[in-house]
Amino acid sequence: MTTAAQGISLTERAARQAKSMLAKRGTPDGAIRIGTTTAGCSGFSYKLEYADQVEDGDLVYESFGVRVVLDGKSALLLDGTLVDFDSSPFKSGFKFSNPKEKERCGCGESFKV
Amino acid sequence: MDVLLEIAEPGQSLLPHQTGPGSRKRVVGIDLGTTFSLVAAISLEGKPLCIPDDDGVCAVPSVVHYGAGQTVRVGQAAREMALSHPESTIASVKRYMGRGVEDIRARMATIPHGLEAGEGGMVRILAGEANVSPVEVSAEILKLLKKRAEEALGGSLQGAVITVPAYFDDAQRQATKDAARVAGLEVLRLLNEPTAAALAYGLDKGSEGLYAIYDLGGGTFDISLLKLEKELFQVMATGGDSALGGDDLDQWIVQRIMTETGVSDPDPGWIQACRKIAREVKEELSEANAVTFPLPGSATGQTGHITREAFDSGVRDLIWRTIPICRRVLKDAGVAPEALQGVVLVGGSTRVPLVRQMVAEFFGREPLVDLDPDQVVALGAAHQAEALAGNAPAEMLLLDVTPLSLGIETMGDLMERIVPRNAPIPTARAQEFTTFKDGQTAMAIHVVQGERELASQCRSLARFELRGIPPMTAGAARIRVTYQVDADGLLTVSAREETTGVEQSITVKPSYGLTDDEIANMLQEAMQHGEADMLARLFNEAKVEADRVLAAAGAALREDGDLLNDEELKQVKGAMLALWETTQGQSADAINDRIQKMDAQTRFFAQRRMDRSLKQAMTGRKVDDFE
Repeated sequence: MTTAAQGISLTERAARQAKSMLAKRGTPDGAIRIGTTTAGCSGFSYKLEYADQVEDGDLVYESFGVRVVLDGKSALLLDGTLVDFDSSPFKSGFKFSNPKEKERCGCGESFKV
Repeated sequence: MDVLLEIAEPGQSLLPHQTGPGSRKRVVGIDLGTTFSLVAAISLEGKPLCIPDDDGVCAVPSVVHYGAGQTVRVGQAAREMALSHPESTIASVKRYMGRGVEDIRARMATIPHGLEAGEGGMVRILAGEANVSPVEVSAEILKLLKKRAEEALGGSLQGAVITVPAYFDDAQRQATKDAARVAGLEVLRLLNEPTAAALAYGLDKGSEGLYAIYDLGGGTFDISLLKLEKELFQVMATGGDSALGGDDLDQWIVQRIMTETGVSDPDPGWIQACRKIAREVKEELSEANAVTFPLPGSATGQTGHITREAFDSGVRDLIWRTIPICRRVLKDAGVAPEALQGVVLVGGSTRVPLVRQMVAEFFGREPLVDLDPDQVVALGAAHQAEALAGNAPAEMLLLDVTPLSLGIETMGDLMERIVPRNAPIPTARAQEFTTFKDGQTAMAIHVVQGERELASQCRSLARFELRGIPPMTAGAARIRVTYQVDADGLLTVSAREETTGVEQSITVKPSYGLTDDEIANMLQEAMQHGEADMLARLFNEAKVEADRVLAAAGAALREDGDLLNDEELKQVKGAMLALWETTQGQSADAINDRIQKMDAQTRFFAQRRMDRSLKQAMTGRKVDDFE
């Protein structure tokens, strides 16, 4: 298993939002899981979930006090990724900046490395 | 476009383009107005809001300019062209919707464009180089609103409620629907403008009875009488004046400035500058008792001065013209003004204090004015869209989860997950696929289960073939594959070709013959082979793309190889060979690099082919066709 060199990090804003969502969910000390799925119009797409369990082969990072869990396979694609939080009146959510990302499909839902 | 993600419960992430239970549909309300158009949606906080442009402006002028070389400008950009290019700039196209040429000539005094009869007797507008239908012009405005909404909401729209005047007939309503279709919008419903205004104020939740909607826009006046019964509005009566609006109030100010400055024969530029000032003066007079303003074209900084009193007495007769129309509508419906439950003001001109005062006096009650009168129709439409989309948070009943991912085999032996592992069931998820080869009429659907990246390493559950796909170019067909897992864990896979509706389906039990140990083993294996699998996937994806590029290049050589001399032919074939060689290797990066190189090396060939097909398209037609 390759270990990610830089891992994955959250911006302070993203960490604050993740913390408040974890608290609202009743798991204030919980972690979030970041990964990839192979779907969409071109290649991969990002996945973001609460992590109730850390499994074999998972990598765990910490950013501004929030634990981020990454499975070994996704680590290949996500090394160096920064996750930010963005909000406007009509949409809010987490945004991925991945240095490995080479192109995105037109709708922005999936990416290629 | 950046995609924003929410944190999902474990195993409940949605795949791209999937919608699950509880996810909100992206829908909007659109006020497709004569002078201005707006788009609104429900915000995250549950409030309807109009969607502004980058400068914070919500209203889009309903103006479309057709420039040289098929350039189309819409909104403010088009309005700026109206003065210099009146013949190729179309404003107020709503007045043409669903109408024939004679009809329009009979109704309108001056028309700045040529008109001719088109299909089904409907008018076509000659605007500069363009010959367009009102439907197409309206579609341009809708496209702009759609794009703005999609950027704000973060994805493609799933439906829209579009408002129309209550008096629109079937042909005008149909034309509005056609415009939406051309713009790629799904119309959830056409909604009467006065009803939308009433909904924006939540009157449907109020007491039953009669409501009047007084709508004084930029160029038109409408009065509608609505009857609310069991939370449903019915239009009882309508009336109006299609040549009376805020523009007439501006015109009074323009005339006054002309008198004061002694300008008798103004040029179009002066008039436009003057109209802009008049609009601003009118707006300021809604707040202030007097306004001092710079006179147009004055280099010495001369100013003009207008008091509210002077303005009121000047426009009193204009505004008074709306009152007999209101009286007639009430009389037609056999209702006294006192019998109304409420009066709603719509349209920017109802901000003028004198308008409010006259309306209040006539109806004997204060009108509702809390919402922005320019936005109220769009806001009501957004309300209705939200209700029709069923965007209430859905309760979800958690029964069980899928133990392993369910997916489909795609080109290159790849496993494409449709239902991920640990997804709660029952669930239904759909994804669209397309054909890989030109003229492909059948598609093999291979249903697989597991966590490996290559389909051949997953468990095969079922295979079937969807036949009867109409022959099209590769990538044009749309095949929607739906995976539905019921509460008993039974999987039904159906594939449907969207243009013909041909459909095939199969049902399997994915857990059949699988023990817990076997499931654990499959997960273990996927973990162990994780990195190798991922590299294999990247390689296969690249190889599929390379094969596609090579096939396309081969076809191009067969068709248009004569465009190349021997040297050039050698160059193209060399690039193809070099790409093919990388597909025999192991490296995805090598293939991708080579695809890019080949693209650069063969660009001149593509250019020549394009020139040829353009020439072919033009030969055999008369010279007239190109003028």
